[in-house]
Amino acid sequence: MKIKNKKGAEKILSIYWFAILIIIAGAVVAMVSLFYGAPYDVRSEEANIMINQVSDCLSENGKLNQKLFNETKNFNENFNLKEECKLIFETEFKSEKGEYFLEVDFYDLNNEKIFSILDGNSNLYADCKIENEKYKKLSKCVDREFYSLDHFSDDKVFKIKITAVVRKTEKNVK
Amino acid sequence: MINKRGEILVENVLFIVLNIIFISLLIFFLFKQGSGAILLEQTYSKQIALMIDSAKPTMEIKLNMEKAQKIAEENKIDFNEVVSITGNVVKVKLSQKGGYEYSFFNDVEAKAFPEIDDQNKYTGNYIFTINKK
Repeated sequence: MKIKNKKGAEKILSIYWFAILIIIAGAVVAMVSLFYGAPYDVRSEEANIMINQVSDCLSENGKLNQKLFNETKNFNENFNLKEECKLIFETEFKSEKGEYFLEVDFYDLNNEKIFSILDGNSNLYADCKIENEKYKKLSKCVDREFYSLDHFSDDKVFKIKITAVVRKTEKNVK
Repeated sequence: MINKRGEILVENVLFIVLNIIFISLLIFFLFKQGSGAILLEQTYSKQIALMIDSAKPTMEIKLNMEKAQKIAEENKIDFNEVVSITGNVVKVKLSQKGGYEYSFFNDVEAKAFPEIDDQNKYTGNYIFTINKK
């Protein structure tokens, strides 16, 4: 009689055991699907590479690019950032406004902005002001700074702040 | 007494075998998910786009794509057709349906072709040449 009861208890235990296994399998499948279903977000890397490229073209050997200045040795208002820095802002997305935005600000040593270059979709810049996990579907903003000498004089130093904004949310965020 | 012990042993062995099968299936599922065509298409196209973004003209870059080659062969796609670059968009195709596209911003002329050894076989590497436009 005791043996019969023991066998019954073991059968119930094995049913529970398989129910637990099925629950575990379901949880693993759900977690894996969530993990691999989300796309890799490479926008920060992209923005950093863009900043590297822009800084390389704006400053060579520690001196600002001559094309940044006009004949009167003032900053050139007609400096074409995309053309000079070999950038294409057209993407596989069909949006007319664009997926990129670049801002380059030149400051003197008193931290006063003296010149600025903007290119791309300026609407994206507003996203940089919002830093919240809830709004991660917005554009990714990266800004970095460096110092460079004037092209004509070694006495003049500029602080250059580059802000790169990349949208591309459809391919980087779920 | 001998029979009783034998019964217990068979039940235990069966229980352990079933558990091992279950764990093996889970591990197989995890590996299968991690090396799926859709996931690899995305990772390779993004990797290639970022690689071209960081490259300078006259560079030649070799990328190991053995995993992609294996999956392309399974899906009956010629390795030569796995990576294509149109304008500034990289497309990686590892299955008959679809493919994954990602754009790069570096205004260069990028070309991609698979590496071939002395016996005219694919080595599993892809070569990317970056030149001025």
